[in-house]
Amino acid sequence: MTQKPRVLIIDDDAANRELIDVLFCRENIIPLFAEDGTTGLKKAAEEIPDLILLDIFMPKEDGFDVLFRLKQNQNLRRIPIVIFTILEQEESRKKAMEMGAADYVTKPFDIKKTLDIVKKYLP
Amino acid sequence: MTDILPGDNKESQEKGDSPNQTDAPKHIVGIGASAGGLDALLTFFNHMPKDSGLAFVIIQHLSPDHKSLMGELLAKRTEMEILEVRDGMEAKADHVYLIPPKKNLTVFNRKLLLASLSHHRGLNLPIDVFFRSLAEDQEEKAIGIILSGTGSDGTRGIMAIKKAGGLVIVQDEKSAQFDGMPKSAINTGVVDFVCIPEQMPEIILNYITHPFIGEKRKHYETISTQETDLTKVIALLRSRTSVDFTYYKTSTVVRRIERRMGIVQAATVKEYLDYLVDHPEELDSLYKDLLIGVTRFFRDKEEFEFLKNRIVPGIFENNKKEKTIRVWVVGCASGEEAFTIAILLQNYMDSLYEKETGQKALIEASPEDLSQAGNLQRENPKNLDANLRKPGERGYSRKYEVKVFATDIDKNAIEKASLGHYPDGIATDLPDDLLERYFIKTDEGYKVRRHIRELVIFASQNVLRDPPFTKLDLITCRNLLIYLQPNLQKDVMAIFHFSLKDKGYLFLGTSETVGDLSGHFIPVDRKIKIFQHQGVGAPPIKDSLRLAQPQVYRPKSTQGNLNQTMVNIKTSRQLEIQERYYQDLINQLTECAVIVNADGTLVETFGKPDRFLKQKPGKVNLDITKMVGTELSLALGTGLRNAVKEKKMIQYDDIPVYGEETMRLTSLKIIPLQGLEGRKALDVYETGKTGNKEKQTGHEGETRPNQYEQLYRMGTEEDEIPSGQSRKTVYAVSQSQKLMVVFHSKEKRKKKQHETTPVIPFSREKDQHLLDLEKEIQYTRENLQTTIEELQTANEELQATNEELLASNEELQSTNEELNSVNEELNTVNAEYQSKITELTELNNDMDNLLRSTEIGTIFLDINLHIRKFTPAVVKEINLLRQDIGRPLTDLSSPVLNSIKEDVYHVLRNVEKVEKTIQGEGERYYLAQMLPYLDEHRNCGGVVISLVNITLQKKAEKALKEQFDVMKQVLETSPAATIMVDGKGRITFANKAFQNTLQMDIQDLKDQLFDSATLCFTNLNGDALDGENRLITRIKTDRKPVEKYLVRFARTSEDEIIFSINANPTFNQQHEVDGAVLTFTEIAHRKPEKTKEQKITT
Repeated sequence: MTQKPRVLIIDDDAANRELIDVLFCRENIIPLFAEDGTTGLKKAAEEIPDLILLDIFMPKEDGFDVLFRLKQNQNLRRIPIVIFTILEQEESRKKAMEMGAADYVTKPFDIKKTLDIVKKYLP
Repeated sequence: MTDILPGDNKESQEKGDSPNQTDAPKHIVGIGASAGGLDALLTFFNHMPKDSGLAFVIIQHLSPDHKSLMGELLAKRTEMEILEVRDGMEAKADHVYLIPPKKNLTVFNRKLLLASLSHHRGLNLPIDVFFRSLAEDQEEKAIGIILSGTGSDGTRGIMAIKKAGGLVIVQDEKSAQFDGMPKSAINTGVVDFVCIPEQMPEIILNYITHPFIGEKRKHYETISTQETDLTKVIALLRSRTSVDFTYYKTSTVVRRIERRMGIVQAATVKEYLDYLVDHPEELDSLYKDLLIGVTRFFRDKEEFEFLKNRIVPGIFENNKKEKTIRVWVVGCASGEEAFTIAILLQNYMDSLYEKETGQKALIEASPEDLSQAGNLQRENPKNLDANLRKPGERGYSRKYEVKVFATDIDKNAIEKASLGHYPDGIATDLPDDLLERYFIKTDEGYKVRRHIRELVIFASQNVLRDPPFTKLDLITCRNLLIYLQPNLQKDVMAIFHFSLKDKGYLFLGTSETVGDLSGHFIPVDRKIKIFQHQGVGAPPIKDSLRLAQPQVYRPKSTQGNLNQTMVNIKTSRQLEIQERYYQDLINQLTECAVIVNADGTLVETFGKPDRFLKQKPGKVNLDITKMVGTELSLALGTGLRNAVKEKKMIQYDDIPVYGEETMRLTSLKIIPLQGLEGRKALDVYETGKTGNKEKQTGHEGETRPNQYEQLYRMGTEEDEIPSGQSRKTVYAVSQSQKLMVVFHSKEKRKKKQHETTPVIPFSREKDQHLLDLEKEIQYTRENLQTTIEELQTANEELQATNEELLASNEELQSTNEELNSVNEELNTVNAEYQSKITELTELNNDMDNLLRSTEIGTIFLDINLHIRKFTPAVVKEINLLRQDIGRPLTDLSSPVLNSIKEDVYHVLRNVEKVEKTIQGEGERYYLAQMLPYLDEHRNCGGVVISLVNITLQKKAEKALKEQFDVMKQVLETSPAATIMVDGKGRITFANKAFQNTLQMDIQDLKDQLFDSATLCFTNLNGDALDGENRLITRIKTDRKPVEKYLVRFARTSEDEIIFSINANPTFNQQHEVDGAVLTFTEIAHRKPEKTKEQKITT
């Protein structure tokens, strides 16, 4: 493996970003961060990461909007997207899965489980 | 170098020597001052130039326990150096020396010597002591100044200075604050200048710069070249004073004249002569200077001891039969020596009396109060007479009749001496017992007791000119001969030889001898100059003495009538011849004529007095009316009175006088004599004694009284008359007029008696009647005399009382002055206190206001826990009233007081503060503080209770507590895990959620550091949370909330929770971060595999 996998995390919560940064670096995954939806879309287009972790509950655009637009973009539609949210309701899970999300992690997240999911979608 | 050194030394030595030479003062000025003298001294030095060439020694009466500021004070007034005397210090020119306290100062060879005070009688006279030594050491270069002061210190000192030829200046009494010392000094009569202190420096400077005074002794020749002028001066003196100084020692006379010249600023004797002519009173001063005499009681102790032990007993032994002791003190000056001898004689008499009777002498046994003294005076003469007649009835000693004749040429001295009054200073010369026995203490000094004064008869007499006393047992003539030239000395010695009885004694001064008469006098002791008369031969007596006249003091001529005085002695011989001529003439012309005094005392007779005058047997009586027969007596008596009264001749004719065989018709002519009236009216009385050596004095009439004993009694009020006979003369004291009585008689046969009718017939009855009347008059007179004497006594008593009153008045005045000054001091102190009081009042007001404004109730209790004071704020809680002040605290009842009473006792017992919170009525709270009340010595003097109202604080505290409880409740039930930590990060509180999350109890959590390893918190990497990254450190430095601080809570590596902490700082009152509230939010976790699997499976 000459190329480290790269994961874009779109989350407004700095604590989450910090924690994930630490966790991913330990797993040799390069984390890329965006604090909101617009920056996330822009960064995704520029970097073309291997995986996107997307928070649903964000100011301005919420996670569903970002998910929709990612799936609309031809260049990005194949990137797997794991939804990362405190919403535990079945409807939002269903909605996300219908919209094309690959998996679903609820906050506070279980570290091992989350890493397992991420690794599952990485090449 | 070595070459130069000796030279240097020499030079310095010369330098050292030459100032020494110029340092020697021209004169040494002694200044005596006491009370009030400071002002005078300051003024004096203000006017004294700094380069006068004089040395000043200030003798001030200093308080022994008070530091004198004299030096500092004087330093402001003079540029001269002021030094306090150290022993042996040399007096230098232009220096001022101060006597140190508690010392006596003397001067010897210009060195000032100190001596501790002698405690003799407690009386110290430092001025006298210094002045005497100054006089001895510096002689005519001594200057003595007496300034203000009380008492008489310095008085004897200036006499010594004057005697030594020095200058004496005294402050004017009026300018002196205290005139005791100046007055006493002026009274000596030896003072050269009396002036105010301002004038003194000028006088001194003029005096010392005078050629005769300022330069050394070479002026002797200068003045001798002006000899004619000198003779004129002496002639002037003689014409004014009747004393001829021609044969006095020239050196002495010249020195005294030079001194006076210095004082009146006359450059030559001629000038002085002119001055004398213009200022006749200067003659008196010169005269006084020439006669200057200083004597002391018991002067030369050794000699008087000898006199007392050897000579006095000898004299008494010599007179066992005659019982009369006569002593002549020649040149008695102020009388000390005369009284000394009288005291010695009296003392011996007293001791004889004691030996005889075994009891104390009468006079010393009774304290002399004045009335008693008056009695003695009246009784004594009679007693004496009685004793003489009946020996053995009274004491042995009373049998002696002692007379001390004290004479001096200086009338002023005699007048003073007769008073017998001496300054306090004599106390140092006399032994205590004699002083007490023979002196009375008066305000100004000591007075010789009356019985001693009675022994001494003072008279003005010129030993060279006036007739001497006779039949003497002792003559003292001390330090008089030295002033006389040898030929005069010889004359005097001849007189003494004549006057002394066989075995009589002559007492001379230390440096005097009997000269040529050593054969006639043999020395009793080799060392002491007392000689005994040998009764051998009679040395020739100078002619002039035989011509002795009763001394008539001429009226003082203002201008020197030189010629008249010069011929005086030459003409006396001529007069004698003339007298004899006239005597013969009168004898031829009249049958009998007599000269009588106005009182009828016979003075002189002419013709055949024996025909009319008969002396009755018994005591000699010179009253002419007693000497004529009874027939003439009445007429003569009446005639004399009328003649005196009417000043014209009275004549009685043909008074029958019956003889045995014959009858004479006698005529009397009584004529007042004009020529002799100018004679000085003094108390004159005649003792009527006739000496057995009368013939030698060349008087023919046996009835003629001895002129020498015609003595001038100086007017003392208590003059006693030694024998009864001349009592009457007292009435006629001022009548010195002379009358001539001429008797003329015609002899008739006795049988023809009835044929002749007398011009003035006297019947037997009338005669008898007249005699009765006369007796009655005599009786009345005696009554009157008694009354007068009683009045005199009463008067004396009154005078004495008056003197006492004056004295106490003076004392009161000085006390008053003292009180005034004390009063002033009190006023000052009072003013100080007033301002203190004002200050204190202000302070008190401040305190009151302070206590009122603080709303602090305060109660002051005294040591017995009685209320002393309280502030108004107390009244709100405890119902105190003004009248409760003074009541004991225990009497009062109030919930507040009840709860602190015990504590108050505690405070009082242990002297320590007690503080407690107490609840009053309602919801009021007080902080009660009980403190010991400390006085200025830090002693507990009671208790102070202060009540501070803390109701509001108490309420706020309660509210706060409630709020806190609510908050705690909220936190406790909050779902978020929350803890509170203090400034160090220690957990002070942790809510249920946190306890659950960590699965720990609050007990385990409390006081643990929340981020320590014990609680399993690490950072995300599992490292310990320390250093700058500690949350609490960040909060404290940033003072801001911290969000999303991530920590890892891991019990094992497989079981971990990641928390995001939101931290909010808490601040204390100083706005410092004293802790934080931390809220933990779980953001991720890792569960152990099992549970995970379980979870997955579920």
